[in-house]
Amino acid sequence: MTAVHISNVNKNFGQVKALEDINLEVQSGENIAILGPSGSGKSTLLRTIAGLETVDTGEIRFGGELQNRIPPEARDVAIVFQSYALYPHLSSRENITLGLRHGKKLSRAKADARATDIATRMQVEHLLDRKPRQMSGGQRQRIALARALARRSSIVLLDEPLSGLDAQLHASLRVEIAGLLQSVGATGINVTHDQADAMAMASRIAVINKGRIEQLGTPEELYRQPQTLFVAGFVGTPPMNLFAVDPATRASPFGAHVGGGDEPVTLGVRPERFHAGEGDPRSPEVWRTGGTVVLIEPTGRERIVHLQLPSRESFALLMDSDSVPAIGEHLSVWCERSHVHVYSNTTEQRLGNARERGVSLHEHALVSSM
Amino acid sequence: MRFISRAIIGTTAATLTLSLAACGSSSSTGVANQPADGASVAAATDISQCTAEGTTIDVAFNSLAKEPMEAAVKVIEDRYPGLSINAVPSVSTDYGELTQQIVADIAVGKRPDVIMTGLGQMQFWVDTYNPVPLDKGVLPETYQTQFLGAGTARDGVTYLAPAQISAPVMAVNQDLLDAAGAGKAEDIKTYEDLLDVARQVSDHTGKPSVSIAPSGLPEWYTQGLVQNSGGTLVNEDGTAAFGDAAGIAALDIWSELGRDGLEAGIPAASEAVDIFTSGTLPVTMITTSNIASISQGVGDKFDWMPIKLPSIDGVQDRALPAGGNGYMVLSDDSCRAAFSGELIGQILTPESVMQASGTQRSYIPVDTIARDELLASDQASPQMTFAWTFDNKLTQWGGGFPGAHTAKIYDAIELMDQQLQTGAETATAVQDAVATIDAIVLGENS
Amino acid sequence: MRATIRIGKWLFLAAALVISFFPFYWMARTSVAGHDEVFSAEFSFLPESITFEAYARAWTDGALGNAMLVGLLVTFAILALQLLTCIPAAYVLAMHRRRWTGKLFGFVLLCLLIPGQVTMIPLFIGINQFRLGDTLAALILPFATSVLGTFMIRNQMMSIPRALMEASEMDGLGPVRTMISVVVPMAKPGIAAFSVYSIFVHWNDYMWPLLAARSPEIQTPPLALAIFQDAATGFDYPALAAGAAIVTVPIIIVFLVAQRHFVRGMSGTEITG
Repeated sequence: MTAVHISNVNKNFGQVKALEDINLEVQSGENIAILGPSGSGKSTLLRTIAGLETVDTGEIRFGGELQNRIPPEARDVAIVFQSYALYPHLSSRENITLGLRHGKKLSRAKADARATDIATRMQVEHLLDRKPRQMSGGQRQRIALARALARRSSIVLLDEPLSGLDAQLHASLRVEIAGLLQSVGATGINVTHDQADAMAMASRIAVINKGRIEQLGTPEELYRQPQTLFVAGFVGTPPMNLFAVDPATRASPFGAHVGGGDEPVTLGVRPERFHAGEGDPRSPEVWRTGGTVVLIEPTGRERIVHLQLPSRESFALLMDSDSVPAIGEHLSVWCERSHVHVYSNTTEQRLGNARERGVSLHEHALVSSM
Repeated sequence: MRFISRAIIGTTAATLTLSLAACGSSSSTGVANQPADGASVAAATDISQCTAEGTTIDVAFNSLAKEPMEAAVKVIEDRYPGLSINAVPSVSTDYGELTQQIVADIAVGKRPDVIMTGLGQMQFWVDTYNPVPLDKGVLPETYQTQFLGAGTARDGVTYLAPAQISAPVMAVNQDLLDAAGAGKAEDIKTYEDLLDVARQVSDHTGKPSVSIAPSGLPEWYTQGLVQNSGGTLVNEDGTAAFGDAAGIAALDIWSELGRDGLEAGIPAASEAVDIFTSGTLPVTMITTSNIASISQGVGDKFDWMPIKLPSIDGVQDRALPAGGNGYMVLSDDSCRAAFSGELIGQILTPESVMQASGTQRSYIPVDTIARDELLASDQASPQMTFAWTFDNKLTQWGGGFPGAHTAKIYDAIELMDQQLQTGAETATAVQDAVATIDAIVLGENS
Repeated sequence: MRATIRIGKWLFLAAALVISFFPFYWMARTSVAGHDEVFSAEFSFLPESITFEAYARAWTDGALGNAMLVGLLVTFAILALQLLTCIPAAYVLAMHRRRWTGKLFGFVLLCLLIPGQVTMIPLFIGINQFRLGDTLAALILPFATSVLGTFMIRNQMMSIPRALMEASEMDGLGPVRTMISVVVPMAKPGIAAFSVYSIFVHWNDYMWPLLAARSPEIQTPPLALAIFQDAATGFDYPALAAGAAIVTVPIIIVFLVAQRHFVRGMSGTEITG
């Protein structure tokens, strides 16, 4: 059981900043996910933890011990590669035992015993004598995981462990992997571009973009209070609607705004916070807008309805399946002021919700002043 | 990957060094022209002043002379107790490859004392490796000295003792001539005779009937045609001499056959021999050394006869270029040169010449006793008799073009021959070749 | 239409088969025909009479028994040395790329451009300076490594996914064990293809053995056959064909054994992870 501490890590590939000032603490036995789009630096971060890449500056510590100069095989870490990286000419058993025998210097008998043990635990004993090309994608993934777990490392890294698997397998395997990591008590770090995977497998998620960690938090925190514009636009299905406020007129699709200072801002509202209709016409807490229905996406229990504004921008809201408008119909919607997130355009950081910031609509300000 | 043991990198370095050494591991032919070796000429001294004990003579030769050489070595070693002769035959019968072996040996300091060489390469040795002039005193009395011209270089000095020799001649399929009513092979004496026969046979068969192949022995066939009709191949200064009227007239037969559709268009000399042997080619230029193998191949399938080369004026006893091989002394020590001379003398005794010219091979015997014995044997068919009694004077193969440039010069001649075979205008083709050769030769002298 | 294309393909393949096998057939036919029949103007598929006399002549006059033993020893010693040197070199060049490995590889490739004749005499001088002239070592050592081999095996190794190297690094295998346990097994097609090539080339090599092996005891099969090619008086075709047939047998065996790998290596193998 080992905690991972990453502090002030920087890594450049030539002119490209791959990792910028990364700070991350992973508790012993915790399972965290590193979530980001492709090219965000998430795999690089994983590889620096594994030791496959060096860091330019900064420190990586396992259980307090500095790892920077320790080669990968000497670190207390195992990795499951994105493409499984099973040796194609070897059977599953040999794939699992090769590193144990020649890297960890275990005897053949001990290595075989470990392979059998982990395979039994994962219910893949029947695959031990097969070669990779004789197995399905899911079977290969399980063997790759078995190879990593057989090392009995305190830290297990998973690089896009579920990519390339079909949806059904995807859902069952992520639960299985999370459970396995928990049962062996390993500290798990898995890299993914899929927020559903991240949320299902991890207790905390680090959202990474352009080599920087945008936000680190529990899935709820990420959902409730996305700290940056990027997280707001990346997390959630569909993601948060973002509305620019015209810096000159201070107008948004909700109307003209007053209060909240002079800083140029962007407003964000989650699709599920919009309601159809007019809301309470007298309440200053109710903000209204509307648009033409252009697209309706069924998702089962609910529908995602896309509305187009006169400015031709569109936004989404969630509606129950039984009250769906027709395409082309005009729909009025409203939300509560406290559900409107305010982001600075300059720092891209969250400033608070509209109520906290004292942002109100011009019409309400007039009403209250009368 | 970063954490790599340096040991592997060491291996790379070692491998790289080996790679450089083994660069281009596959090999192919080509005679290496080495710069002149610094060894000075050692004139053979009086052999009575030399001690045999502890002296070793190295001989470079090929398997064509395996039996006579073994016999000669035994005789000389017996005659001079203590003398040892190191004579392992090269397996290759290609004179170019033998030369390459010897050049390589000289390069590593193993200069042989006696070498066998193709007559075509004599000038190369003379120009590059300072051979010892031949001591004619070692030759048996019955040696046919009219053939020594084949061992005489451009400077007039005889360096080489011809051993297994041959001359350019023609082979005629008498059956094919008879079928066309074209007369007898032995009546072909002039170019006109040859053209008449060729026309008659071609009229009968509807196919070309004569082959003079441009590749294989280009300079030798060319030299044969030129000298046989009174021309000269090489001037004394090493430039081409065959661009004169005599040369052009001599070579015109080739082109005329081509123009008249009488030339069979076979590219290589050896191929022409094989096709003649199969019985489909009426007349072809060959060497006397081919006669034995043609006889074997033909058996009694058809009647054929070798004839002397026809000439422009019907004269057929002019000096011809010699083919085949002979022996030279390369010793850099006068006593070893003397022993080497003795060995050469021994390999040219009647018994040895019998073996060398032999019944399996139709070389011209260089010894009269050997010749007479061969003629008396039951192998003396009319064709073999023709080979064994061939008595034209012989001259140096290649006529003495500078040894360092023979490859390029012979290429120029081969190109000319190919043009002539296809019926190109004779004077133009010849003058082009002469100009090319002179540029090569004079370029060297300037 | 389809059927026509199919028949066309079959005819093409049949023609290719005949063209490739005809020389072998003709070699066999010549070897059992009499000397005079070789020059027969009429084509006949089978010789009039069959005699194995040429085989006996080839075997004894050419001393083929000894030559084949020498040839096998030389060919396989060369192959063993080449694999020992080329595999590690290819491994470093393919898998441990640094700034200098590219230049180094370019340098190695330059060697491919130097024709064999250029180095033959210097090599001969070198071998003699080590006092190895006219020994088995002279036939073997100059070919202890092969630029082409390094090139072919490196190219094969380049197709091994990077992730496998990282997996072996994580497994702590170290560079040597990685080479033995991971890279070599995966580069097998390339190694097999090169091995067949090397055996072909060195079994058939003529010029270097002609220079380097003068003693009859260490002469290789091509040298043994040279005795039947009398440049001046004509070839002994039946003996030559019989000798060639005998000498070709080991090569055919090697090819059949390596065929599967060889073909894969030539077409560029696909490795799935």
